[in-house]
Amino acid sequence: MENFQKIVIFKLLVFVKKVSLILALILVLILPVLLEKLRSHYVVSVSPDRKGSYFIPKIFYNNLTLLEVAVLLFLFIFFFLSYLAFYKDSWKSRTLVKNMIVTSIFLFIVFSLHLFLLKYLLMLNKIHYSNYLYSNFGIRPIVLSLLSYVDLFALCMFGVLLVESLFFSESKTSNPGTGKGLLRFILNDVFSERNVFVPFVVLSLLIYQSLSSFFSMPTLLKEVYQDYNQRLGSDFIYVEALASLSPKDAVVIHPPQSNLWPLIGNQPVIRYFLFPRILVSGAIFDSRQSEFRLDHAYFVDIPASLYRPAWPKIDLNTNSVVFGFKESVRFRRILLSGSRENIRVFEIFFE
Amino acid sequence: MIFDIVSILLIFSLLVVKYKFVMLEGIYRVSFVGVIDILSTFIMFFVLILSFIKGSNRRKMIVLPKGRFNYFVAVASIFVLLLVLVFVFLFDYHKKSLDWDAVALYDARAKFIQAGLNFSDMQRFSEYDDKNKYYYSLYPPYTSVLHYYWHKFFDTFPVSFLYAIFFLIFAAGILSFGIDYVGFVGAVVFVSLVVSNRNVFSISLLEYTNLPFVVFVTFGSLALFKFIKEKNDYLLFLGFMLIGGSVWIRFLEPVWFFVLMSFSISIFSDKRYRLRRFVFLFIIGLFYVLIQYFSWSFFQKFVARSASIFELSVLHVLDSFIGFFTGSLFNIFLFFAKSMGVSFFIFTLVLIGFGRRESREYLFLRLTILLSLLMYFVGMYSMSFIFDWWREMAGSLIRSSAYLVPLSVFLWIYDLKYLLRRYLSGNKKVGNSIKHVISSSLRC
Repeated sequence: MENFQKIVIFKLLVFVKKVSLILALILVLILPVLLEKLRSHYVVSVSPDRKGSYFIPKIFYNNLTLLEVAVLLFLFIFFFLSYLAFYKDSWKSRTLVKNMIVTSIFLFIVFSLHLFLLKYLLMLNKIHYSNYLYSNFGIRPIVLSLLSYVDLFALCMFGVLLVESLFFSESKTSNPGTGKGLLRFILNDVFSERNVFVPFVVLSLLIYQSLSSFFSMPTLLKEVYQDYNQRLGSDFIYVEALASLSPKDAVVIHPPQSNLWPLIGNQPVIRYFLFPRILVSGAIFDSRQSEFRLDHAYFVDIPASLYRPAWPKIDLNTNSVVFGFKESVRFRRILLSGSRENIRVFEIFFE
Repeated sequence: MIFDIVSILLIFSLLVVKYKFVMLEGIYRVSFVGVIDILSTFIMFFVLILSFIKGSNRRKMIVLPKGRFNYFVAVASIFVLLLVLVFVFLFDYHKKSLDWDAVALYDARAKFIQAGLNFSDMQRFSEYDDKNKYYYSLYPPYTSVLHYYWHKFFDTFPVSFLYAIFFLIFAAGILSFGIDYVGFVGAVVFVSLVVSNRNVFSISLLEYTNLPFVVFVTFGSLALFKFIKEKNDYLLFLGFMLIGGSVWIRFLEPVWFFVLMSFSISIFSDKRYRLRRFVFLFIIGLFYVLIQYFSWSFFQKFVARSASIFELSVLHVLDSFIGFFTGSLFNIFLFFAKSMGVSFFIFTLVLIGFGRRESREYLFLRLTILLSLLMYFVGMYSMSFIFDWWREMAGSLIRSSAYLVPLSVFLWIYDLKYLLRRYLSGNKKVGNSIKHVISSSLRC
């Protein structure tokens, strides 16, 4: 009877130790994301008159919806119970490898499917529009990414546990000192010569990568036949206009390099098509106003659109033009050098 | 044998590039560093050829294991290999436009050379550009000079075709290497898994520095691996020349440093390699690689007078230190692992060395993978405090670390083969385990 009690206490201790290790690992994994959330929440929404006690409830009830918290909790509990089920067998006998493998494979499949589902949902945002998931289902992508981390972690853990289970009984019988605890298992078994699980995991990952190359063939094929205007973006027509409507020895002014003009603002890229013309970034007019002098130059007129202003900003009343973001330059006259498909290239003469 | 010949051809291409480069750069040609660079490269090449002729008869072939399963695997792998090669050649032949960086830099510089400019002249282009001051000298000239020659002599084919040829060279080299170490079946599985790997396959369709860099670093590492195994002098020269040559293809990542570090740790931790002769040859090779590194940085700073891509400040160092405690380290690690994707798991799983007591050459490959991963992680971590666009480095990271794929796949094939060999030879320890796994899995 005393012996039985001792065994039960021992088993309980082992169980608690292992479960707490797993929970600690999960916490370590989740904590930074939660802290990040807490931090951004603190920075964005806590005003001086609202602090303290209101702070934490707001995150859980407003920022994370109840459904999201429930899913998260469900996953944790599921993971916890799975772990319990996994180790329950090993209490009865040290050789019940079969059930462990079944449990493990089952959980592996469940977590993989869950991961695929999350990835699919995240993909919906990319396919439709960036706020698709939230506006239709009330799910925020950040939570999905967070859950996918839990999945990945669980998959890794079960991978390791599966290997452990394969060698659990053997190592106990051959050497009673080994096989206890994850760290000792890693030291003794992962580096051992008997480990066959990892090579097969690596093989499946490699095959997955090879298959994804083949699956990406249609996309690649599409890219192969892309012209410069498809590959470099719709602004390429302005580069083509400059190349055909300005002389080879011209000085060409282009917009400053920024998100507004990613192609035509990028001097090295457009030089490929405009060489040997001398290229001057509009930003130079902002930074070197006092020492920078040009007699005449060419530029292309880029009309305003929904997401960006027109370039350059020309004021005919004051005879001044802004090529950069702030400084204006005075000019004597502007001549239309030519136009091509409604795109106009001008020659500008400075004062 | 094919591996050695192909490697020598690659080094020869580097000589051609250097020749063109010094012909273009008058100031560099007469500078002390330039003279040392040219002399050392040509002398090393000469010594390499001599030692190759002297040492190449010491070769051994492995008898192939036979069996129906092996034939099936071999045929399937050859099919995949051919399919990928055909795709790469077709895609590269029909490519209508070059990719972004090729347009901005690699092919652009070839175009400027054709117009009679040299590399230091190109620095003047940035005079009226508020950004990109460092751009034209950021990458060494290897790819641009090759593009220049391609346009000059083979202009009927698009320049992308050059990369299909590089890809073929890559496949041929590692196949030949694999046959020597893991047998024919192992080698075709090795090559087909490498060439069809997404990371490797995708760089074969880009006119970037990545593919030549991967070929140089992979062949260099494999040559050093062979050296540890066969102790043939020419392999040491071959390895050092290829690793040194990679510096003239891509300069941003100090991969050469970590490969050589892994190499020196692997061999000098073993007493048998601490012979005066080895140490002497190692020092010569090391000097050669250092000359390669310093000659390009000398050109960048003093001949082309290019601006530096980043200035390190106290704040950056301080920020990265504080990042240990604020969780940035962990966040960036997550981002790093996520951007590498499946490859991250492959590299780390291969790293733990599943199933083998290490011999020196395998320790070298594993160390190379470990140190390279650390290098990329530390690089990304420190860059995240300097540039706000650090997240965009993810794509570049995958492309430039593609040399880890062949090394990992080779290690995996080797380890699996080792396990299978032990199983087939009736070794109880492994055999029981495998039988145990298979039978228990079948029973479930």
